Amino acid sequence: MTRISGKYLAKRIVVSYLTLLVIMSLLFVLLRSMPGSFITSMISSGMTAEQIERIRETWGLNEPLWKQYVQFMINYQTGNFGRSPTYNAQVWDLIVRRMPRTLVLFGSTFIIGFIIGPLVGMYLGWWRGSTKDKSIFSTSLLLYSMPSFWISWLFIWVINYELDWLPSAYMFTQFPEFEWTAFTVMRDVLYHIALPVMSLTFIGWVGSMLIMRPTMNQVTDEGYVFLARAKGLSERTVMVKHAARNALIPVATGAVVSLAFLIDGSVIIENVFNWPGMGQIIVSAVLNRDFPVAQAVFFMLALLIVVMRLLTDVVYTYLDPRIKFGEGE
Amino acid sequence: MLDNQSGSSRRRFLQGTGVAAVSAGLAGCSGNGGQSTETTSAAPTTTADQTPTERQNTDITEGGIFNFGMGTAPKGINVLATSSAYSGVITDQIYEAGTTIDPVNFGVHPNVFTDWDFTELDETGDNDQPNVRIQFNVRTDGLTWNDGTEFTVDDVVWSYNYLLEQMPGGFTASLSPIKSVSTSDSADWDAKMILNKPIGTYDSTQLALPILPKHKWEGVSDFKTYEPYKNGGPVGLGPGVVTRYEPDTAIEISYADRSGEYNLSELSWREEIPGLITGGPFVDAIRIRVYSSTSALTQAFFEGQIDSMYSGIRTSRIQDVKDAQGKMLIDGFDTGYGHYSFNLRKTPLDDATFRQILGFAFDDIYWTERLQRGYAQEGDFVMPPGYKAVRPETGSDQQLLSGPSTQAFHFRQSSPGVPDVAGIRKFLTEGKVINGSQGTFVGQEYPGSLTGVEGSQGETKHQYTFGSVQSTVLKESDQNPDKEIRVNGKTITEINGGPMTMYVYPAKDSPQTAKMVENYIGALQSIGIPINRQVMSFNTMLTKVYAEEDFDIFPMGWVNLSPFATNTLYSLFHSDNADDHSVAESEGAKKNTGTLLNNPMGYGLFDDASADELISEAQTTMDTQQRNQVARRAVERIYLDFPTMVTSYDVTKWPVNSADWKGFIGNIPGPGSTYLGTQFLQVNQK
Amino acid sequence: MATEQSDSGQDGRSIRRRWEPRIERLRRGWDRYTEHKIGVVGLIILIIYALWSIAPGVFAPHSPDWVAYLGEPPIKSRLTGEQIRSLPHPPAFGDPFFAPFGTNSLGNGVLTLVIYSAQNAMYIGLAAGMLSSLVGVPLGLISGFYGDTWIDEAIQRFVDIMYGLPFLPFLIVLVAIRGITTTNIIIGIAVTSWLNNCITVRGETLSLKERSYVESAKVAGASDTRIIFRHIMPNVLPISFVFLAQDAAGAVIAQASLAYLGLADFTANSWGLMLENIKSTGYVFKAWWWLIPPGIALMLMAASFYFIGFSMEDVTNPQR
Repeated sequence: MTRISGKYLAKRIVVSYLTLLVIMSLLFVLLRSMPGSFITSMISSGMTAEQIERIRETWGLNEPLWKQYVQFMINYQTGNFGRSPTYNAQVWDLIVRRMPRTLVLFGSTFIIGFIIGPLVGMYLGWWRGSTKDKSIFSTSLLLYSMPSFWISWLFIWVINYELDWLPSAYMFTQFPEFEWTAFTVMRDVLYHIALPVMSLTFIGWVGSMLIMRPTMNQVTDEGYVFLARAKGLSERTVMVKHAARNALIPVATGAVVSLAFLIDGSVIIENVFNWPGMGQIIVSAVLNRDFPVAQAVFFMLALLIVVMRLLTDVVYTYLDPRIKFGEGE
Repeated sequence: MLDNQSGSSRRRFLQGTGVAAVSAGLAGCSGNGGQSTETTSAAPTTTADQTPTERQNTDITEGGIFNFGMGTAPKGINVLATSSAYSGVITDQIYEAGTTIDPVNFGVHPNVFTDWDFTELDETGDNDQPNVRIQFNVRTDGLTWNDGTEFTVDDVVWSYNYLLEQMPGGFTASLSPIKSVSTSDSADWDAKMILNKPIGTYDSTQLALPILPKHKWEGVSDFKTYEPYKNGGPVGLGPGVVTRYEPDTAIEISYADRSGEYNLSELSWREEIPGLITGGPFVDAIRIRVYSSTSALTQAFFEGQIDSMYSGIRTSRIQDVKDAQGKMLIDGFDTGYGHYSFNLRKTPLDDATFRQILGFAFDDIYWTERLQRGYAQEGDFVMPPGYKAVRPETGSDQQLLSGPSTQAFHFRQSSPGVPDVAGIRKFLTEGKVINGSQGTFVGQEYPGSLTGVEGSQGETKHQYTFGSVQSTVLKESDQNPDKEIRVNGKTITEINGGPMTMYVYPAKDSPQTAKMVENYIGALQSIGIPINRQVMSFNTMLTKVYAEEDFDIFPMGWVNLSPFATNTLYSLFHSDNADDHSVAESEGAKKNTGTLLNNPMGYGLFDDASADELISEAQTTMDTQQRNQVARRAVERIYLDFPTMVTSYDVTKWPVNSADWKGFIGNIPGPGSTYLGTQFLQVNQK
Repeated sequence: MATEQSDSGQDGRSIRRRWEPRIERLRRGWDRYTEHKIGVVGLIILIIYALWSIAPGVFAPHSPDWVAYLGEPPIKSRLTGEQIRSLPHPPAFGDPFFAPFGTNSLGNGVLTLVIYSAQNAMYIGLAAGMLSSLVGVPLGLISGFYGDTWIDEAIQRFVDIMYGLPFLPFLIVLVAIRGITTTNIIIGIAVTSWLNNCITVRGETLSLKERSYVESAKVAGASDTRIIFRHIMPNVLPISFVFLAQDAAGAVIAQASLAYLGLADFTANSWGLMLENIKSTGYVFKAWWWLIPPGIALMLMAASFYFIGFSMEDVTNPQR
């Protein structure tokens, strides 16, 4: 196994950090090139020019753009996200309140998707070309082609609207009658999360399956698989214990790509299911020109993606003996 | 959500009022602005259907929890910093003001202040106008803050001075004429306020500002960052206490916590207003659930999770409410209007003749009947039909909304839905103007103006002719017009370096507006006017229209206008609130200031399109009757000058659970929005 | 002239000689492709959509301006209140009018709108797919060819940055900056979707440039451009077609998501807009005939691109 040198690790971290800085700069420029400004919603008739000036000053809009930029970058280094003009609250408070909700939705979808996806992928890859493979594979591609909001509507329509089995909005019962214990809260969350997770995983699992299937197919030709078979192990054991294990590495790397996919999904799903998370505010923040909130949410998502990429890179390097980035540096 | 942009905002630009197209409410001319209209006038009964209004009830069961739904989260509950209508739903239950307006007759009544009076002083203030001293008494017996603290006159004086010092944006228009507020030396009065000019509607504006508790707000140096809920509040004089506040999902306002302490609903004036119930609130609490989409909100109502919702229900579900057991619709009327407005700085929109034919080409029936499914009334004046006292029909024998003098700019059609192209072209080439005199215009009789007022422009400004089609917009048009208009011999494309543009924002909140714009542009093209549409987001449009005044025609709407007209007319149609591009130009300074003013049309900047004098006169008239008369003339002047085309007023249908609740008041403006506070005070278990 | 002719004659022969194996390869590829049923199905679906795009009028029962009860334009009458209240109308077959998938709330035929919208989706899918290939493939080629140099490093860092921006929210910002038109939506999708393309092509190039024929071309003194475009590109093209198909599918879905969030160009007919309209008018759970067809149409278009893409992947991937 390759040892990862400290130098390599340090370099990767610095590069990730720089990437993040560039992303922030890019966002600063892009958000401010949108026509319109949040000041529009704060100025009303009858205000004197002075008062408007004062508002502009409060929000630092009178400073030259480069100064605003420098201030913004400095603030973010120190974790100061500013205030939201539309929510009239500290952006950090908003994030702290909403981030866990998004992570719950996100996390459960991610986990379920990454159990179903590789399992199906393993099966299909192993039996590639069979009738089963063909029919399941084409069906899953059909699922993958559905717009997430549309399938959510269908689920809500049937399961909530017609059958009234599961709730179609929120994370908790808003005004609970039951006693507030760890168990009841858990049950309540599960009850509320079922439909959104169902809608999101219905499509989301296909991503990891698509990665698993071809790699699984590749390892079937590898020597150790023949060896395992030759040993007289059952087909099932060979498939699960020997082949699938090795095919999982690219799936793990692919997880980062699916992460981005899930973010898109959760933006839509949070809106459809009234899930008060980050995805819900990012859209309205952009459309209302609430720059402090938009920047902060973009930053958190970018941070998530960059950190995940860094982690998978390092783990991948550590696991895969064929890659030797760490040496010679 | 994308909306819901800012969703609806009580005092600001606002998009989509549920049932209607796009509306915008604004500061300075909002709900509580103005003095009493004729208090004897009959209850407005303009909006068809039967009224569910109930008379005083003797059999009231107290208790229960009323569940309410909103489609957008409130933007904080700091009464000074937020202007969101959804925040208002909560803050209205917490804060009280000196005076209050009843929703039926729009009379100004005592609230925290018991009585008040004014005297004109000899000194002069702004523009050589006399200063005015207002004196008032404060109700201190039995009234306490909702945290139990004692309430004193000192609180009121401190509160006003705090507002004057901080000048929060939403209240600037009311605060700026106030010179000072102090305790009174006179034995008859508790406190006095000096205004730097006469303001006819002082009792519903200056005396109707929220009163803040000194013990909570003292020492708050920046009101914007103050968060009341984190500081044991919000504390006010109102009936409610916020007992749960999760702005994204659930909010609870408890009345039970305050039982026996609140007495402002027991004031005797309430008994004289038909439909108002004395002695509320009767429920233990209001629970507000926040939904992110209208679909979810509507669904929750039908499933019984909520007893009612903010504003109204979308038109597609109105029939379902009618059919449903135990649900009913409370009728109400619009507090504003939907409109298309024109930029008077541009040729040929600077000419009344041209602007008026834009009215002839707008298919009102398609808009109100087909697209709004009959839940909108055809528009005419800039005051909605509910504000009868300031409508020009008052004092004439013509019918409200349907009298011939209100139909001057009705759609002129040759066959159903097809504009009368020949007639409209003739109106242009003959250079006619409807300026208040009797006559026949494009095949329709006009009996003359209702108030006797004349339009600013007596005759046409430009020479209109029709020639061969030259502009590409028209050549490519599906309408295949046979001729194109020439203004003083040139095509509009030549004059402005391009065709006219009509702004429109994405269909999200208003697919109807998108459809209407398509129809309207088709009609204008068939006449031979080169025009196309430009799609932009609502936010972009606000900037383009209100900050830059870079537009030809745009559709939008207003809500929460003042029932006393003057403030509204001033902020929407007075030249003080228009960006005068020409003046700055001569000074060599920036031509356009980029500030947001509510009169982007530039109405009032030009001698041949102005109601400035009438508006100013109305504003400073202290006598109610007289003021309303002047206001009516101003309203009709604006109608004839046609800087803005009023397309419709919404017919509001507010859905409630009538199986379990009663006490709702109907036939008032904004029954589920503007006067929601009144409903909460009245609702009681069946 | 004469020399040129003879040149071209020689060229003709040499071209034929050069192209014969390629045509042969293509034919073998096609045979292999048709082994995949889903590939054939995808192709058939796509051909139907192409026909709808070219001549919607032939397939649709009405024009998009047709209105229930009133018929085709020019319309010289109005709907009665009762007629308006009956809209959106469930499927009707001749009585009181013919609309096999019913109508929307304005009285336009749903089937007609579905057919007329194919053009928009086809355009967005193909244009965004091609644009993202046009960006991704050359960058991937360059990055791979100059692997481990500063050029590669720069491109890879840029890709890293773009990966850090979540696709849909970023797309919303782009569309908000440039205005809501179909063209801008396509550009937005292309700008955000070329990354996978670039990375895969880079990986492919990295391994190809180690092959002996590339080495020998280098030794023979061929220029970098020539090596990239003559020797490497033809070998990465198949894989980039796979990505083109996948990007096209992604673009069709992304456009629908944008429409859901209210960022659709409503001057064009599109499935996304139909779904957005059913939401904003409040008929999501009330008019299944209006909700289901645009969704199915969207799904089948995206699926047909995926079907073709994955079948082609098998063709290009000689394993198995």
